[in-house]
Amino acid sequence: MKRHFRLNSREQEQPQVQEHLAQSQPLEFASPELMIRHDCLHTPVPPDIEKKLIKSVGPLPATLPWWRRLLRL
Amino acid sequence: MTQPLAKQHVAEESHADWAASEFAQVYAEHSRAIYYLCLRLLSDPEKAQDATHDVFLKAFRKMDQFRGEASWRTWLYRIAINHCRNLQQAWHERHMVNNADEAVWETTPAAGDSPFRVLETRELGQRIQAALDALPPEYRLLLLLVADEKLSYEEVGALTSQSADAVRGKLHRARKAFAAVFKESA
Repeated sequence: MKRHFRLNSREQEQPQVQEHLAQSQPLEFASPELMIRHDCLHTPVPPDIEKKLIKSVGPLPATLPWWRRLLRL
Repeated sequence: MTQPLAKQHVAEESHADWAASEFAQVYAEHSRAIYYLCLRLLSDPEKAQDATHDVFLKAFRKMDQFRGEASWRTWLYRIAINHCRNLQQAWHERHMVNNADEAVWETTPAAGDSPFRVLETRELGQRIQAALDALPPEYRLLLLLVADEKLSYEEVGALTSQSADAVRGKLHRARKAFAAVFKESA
């Protein structure tokens, strides 16, 4: 039982090590803009902003169904 | 703690309305760019969070003024730039590092054409922020806007009140200044 557990934990360790190795590769950029672009793509937007915005905006007018928008009714 | 049933129902309804609205799509498409701009201009994640909320709320309330002459992206950027400027003026730039005169950057030796290297993405954000904070505000804004591949030089020029040619010229100096600060911090 104990042996079985050890085997599993070692199996689980492997991807973590690979991930760590991949992460430790230095990042290289040819220009500040490319670097900033990469940073922007990896900067998550806090979900609280949208939650707060929904509260601030309040109830929205109901969206018309597609067929009414198409026929402009 | 559980919400009263009626209150919970209203909250669920506004979430459903929001998800189906055109503005939610605008938010989904542009919130990353706007949040990032606010974050790097204000150098403070909490202030950037509030600023992004305020920018989108302003845009929502002024939606009838949006005539489609500019793209949503450009319009939102304009609101965000003005909003961040107002905040910075209100704080008397207490939260900003005092930047050297632009003329100083003219004499900065070029850092060479070697690529920018960083060890990991986490470190990248901190070093970019430090380098941007050390630049004159004009260069900082220019680099942030040009980094957005959805904006043309003409649009960057319109957002910063100058011609596309002036953007190209200043961008060269902004890159040089950024490189000098960034590589010094390695």
